[in-house]
Amino acid sequence: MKKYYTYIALLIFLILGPFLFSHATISEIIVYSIVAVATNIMLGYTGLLSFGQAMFFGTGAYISGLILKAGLPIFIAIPVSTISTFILASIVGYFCVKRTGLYFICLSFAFNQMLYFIAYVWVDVTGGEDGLVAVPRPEFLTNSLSLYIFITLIFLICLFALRRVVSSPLGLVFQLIRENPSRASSIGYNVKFFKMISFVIASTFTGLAGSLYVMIHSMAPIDQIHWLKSGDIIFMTLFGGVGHFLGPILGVIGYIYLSDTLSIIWARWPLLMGLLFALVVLYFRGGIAELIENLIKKYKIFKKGLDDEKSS
Amino acid sequence: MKSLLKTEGLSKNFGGLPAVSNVDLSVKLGDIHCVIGPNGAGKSTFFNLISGELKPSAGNVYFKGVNITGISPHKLPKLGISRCFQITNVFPKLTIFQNIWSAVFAKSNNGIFSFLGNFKDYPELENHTHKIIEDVGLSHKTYAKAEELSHGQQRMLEVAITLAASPELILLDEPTQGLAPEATKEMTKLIKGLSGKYTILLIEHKMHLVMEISDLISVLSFGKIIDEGTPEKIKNSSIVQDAYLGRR
Repeated sequence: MKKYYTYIALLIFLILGPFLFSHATISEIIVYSIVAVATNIMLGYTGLLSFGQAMFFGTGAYISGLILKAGLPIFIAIPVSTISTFILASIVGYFCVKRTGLYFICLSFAFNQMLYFIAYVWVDVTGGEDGLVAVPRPEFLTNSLSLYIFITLIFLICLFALRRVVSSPLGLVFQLIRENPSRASSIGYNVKFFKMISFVIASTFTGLAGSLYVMIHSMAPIDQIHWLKSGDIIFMTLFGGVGHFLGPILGVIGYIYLSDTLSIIWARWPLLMGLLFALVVLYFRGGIAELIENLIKKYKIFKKGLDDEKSS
Repeated sequence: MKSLLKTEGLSKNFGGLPAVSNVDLSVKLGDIHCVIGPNGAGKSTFFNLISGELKPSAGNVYFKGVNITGISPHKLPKLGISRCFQITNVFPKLTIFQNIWSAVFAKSNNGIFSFLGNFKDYPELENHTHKIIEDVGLSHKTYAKAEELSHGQQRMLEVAITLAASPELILLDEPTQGLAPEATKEMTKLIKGLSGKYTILLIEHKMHLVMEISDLISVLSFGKIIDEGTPEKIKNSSIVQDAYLGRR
């Protein structure tokens, strides 16, 4: 039962979204929702913290942008950029999973920096510091609402695919690795291999999201490949709640809504975000999703108490 | 009788310190073979060498005549070797069912695509899982999380995970470590129940347990085998008594 409620709530949000936010903002929310749900496969299910997710988001965005600029159709841009990110993620993942813990994080971070500087230095192709600008949108997506609908359809396909992953034995193996890697290995799972699979799945979907992102503002700014963006991705995922499949989406909505509103009020708004992040890590480890879950639980207990009083 | 597992000149040095030196051991098919020895004798290191957690400095390990020296730990279950750990080593946030199902699945799985199937596609694995849970007496807790179990029950679960892969050889590392007397009795009963069905190589501290269940005992001291024989022989061996009392 509980499962259906969350999906119905999501559907209502997707329909109401364009009325609550500007079309660009809601499209951004959906794009980052793909990223956050995918990142959660790696972060929440497998227990891998990577500070390099922006390199996949950026790679997807740049490659898709370049293909669109070359005048090729979107149905080439999206698959090609997704496959390119898949190849990049396989290479980076292969090296990263050779180490665990801090070293894994550092490796992912290092690769991110490399990709960032490639984008920074290779001005002829990537536009360097200015980012990739003047990316044309395909004709049928020039209307911002139609772009939103297109992005949402791809989001739903991604959600379905990722749901398939976590509810299959593969998803269980990811959790085994999170819980106890040495035991997972002793019962017969190749831990490094499955870590890499998890890393590649999360990163490939992140790249796909990047390829959609480039169309929203018709550009790929260089900060989309900077490691600070990797931090944002981790924050959004944690903020929403890694304990639930859809939890990270709440984090994305919260993060983008807050940064949009706060940045108008105060130029130093990242300070407030920092404070919020500290609070979440200190007091709400399960993020917004767990907070809501606890409130529902309390409400149920409260209601049960009232019912008991009535009947007695 | 035929030997299932054999080590030849197995050695491991940590820096200059020999933790295990030149150990020849042969585990016969169907035996419960126990390795005992004072603290720091190298028992756990010896186990880690067999199970691939550590790479030996010298020597070889043979399983059914095949050289498996330095093999990756995740390949052992497919060969038919299952390991049970000294510290409780389960998957705390997962249910008992998931804990055991995973081990059953790891052994059975055929190809990468089986990982993307549905859980419902494998009714025979599910039945096997339920049977194992029943065997170790945890069926009333099937869908509880492992972290909710008592310490004794977690040890039982640990053994159940080990058995789930239907191994030919079980490596048991101090199965009664830290257990209350009641739970120890239950564990002893469980291990005794396994004899005949499985070949077991066991490390244990509790002497009465060792004497009760072993077919053969090897005594390790300072990384070397100093004596080997039936419980009766070991009980009366003066070399063993000296080693335990520190008279060398």
